[in-house]
Amino acid sequence: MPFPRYRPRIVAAIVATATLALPAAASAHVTVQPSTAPADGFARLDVRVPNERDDAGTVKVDLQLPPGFAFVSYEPRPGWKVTTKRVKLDEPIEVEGGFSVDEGIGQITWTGEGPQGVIEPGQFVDFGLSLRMPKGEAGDKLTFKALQTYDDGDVVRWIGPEDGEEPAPVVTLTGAATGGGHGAPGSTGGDTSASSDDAASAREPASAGNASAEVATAESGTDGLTIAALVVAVLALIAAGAAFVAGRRKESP
Amino acid sequence: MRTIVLAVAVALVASAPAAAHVGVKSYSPKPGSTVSRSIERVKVTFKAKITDAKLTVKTSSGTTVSIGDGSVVNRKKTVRVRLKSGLAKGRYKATYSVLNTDGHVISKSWNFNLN
Repeated sequence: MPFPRYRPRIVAAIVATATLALPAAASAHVTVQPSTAPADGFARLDVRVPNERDDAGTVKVDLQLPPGFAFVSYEPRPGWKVTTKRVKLDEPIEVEGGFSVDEGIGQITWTGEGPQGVIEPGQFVDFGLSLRMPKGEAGDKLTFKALQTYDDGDVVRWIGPEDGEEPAPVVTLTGAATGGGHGAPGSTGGDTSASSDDAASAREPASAGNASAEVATAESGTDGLTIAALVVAVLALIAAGAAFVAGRRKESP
Repeated sequence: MRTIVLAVAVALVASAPAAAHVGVKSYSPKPGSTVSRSIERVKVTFKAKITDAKLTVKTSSGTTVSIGDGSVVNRKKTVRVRLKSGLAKGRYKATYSVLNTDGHVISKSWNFNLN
């Protein structure tokens, strides 16, 4: 099947769309990126720490999490030790399957150790986090207070209002969560009422067989985000292919 | 052209949150196995620490034969539940659900036989 002849303008539009999805460039402020995440959904957030000084390095970052976070994992980074501070929650966090937790994560601290554990002048570092976002309404703003410590002892406190000199990082919740867990359907938004128990009992395992084949899985949900990423990837691939074909045609005599 | 290649690369690595699905180290009784009716407990041991888990056992017709929904022991690596006494011969289905440390809930079932 011949490749459709995409006009350059269309290709450009597709590329532009893909480019818009690129992460924002480093600003001078400590920020949490991206600036939106689905309520009660799973998200990767990066704490972006640029070095604002030309005579000192950043050697420590403290991030205070707003209430409602109980599940956090972090990306390891050579030279940086990560510690988390757990806090007792005023209100337990309920998740699907009848589970609830009464302990949350209050603070995460990255401490630089050795030559790799420093953000030098002109550099920035993204400290990666994988989190289950708190429940909430679309538009709810979560404020993460951050402290940036330089190797000369100076501490910059990113705890101010959004339009202030040293604003605290803010993430806005979106309503469209992809479902609370892998067992939850992806199309129900923030509704995670489909408990895993139901999902499991609704699924009768196959008739008597041997050993490991008997284990049935209720892990059927797929993250909408993953699908979206794939769709974007495929679109970009098509665009690239079309441009490549167009380019070759132009080159040929 | 370079921009397009870059766009493809970016799209392909579009970040999904890390999903940690703890694996099962062992089931007791083992899936598909036949064990004595005198067993008192069913358990699942995970390869890593979990946040919480539940475990229930039912007959093939759906009657619950476990007591409660299990307790987490072994430094948060095992969930186990007691069975009612005087169970009949036959096929049983055990179902666990686990709250992983990353907040994902996963549920699985397996079958075993009592004789």
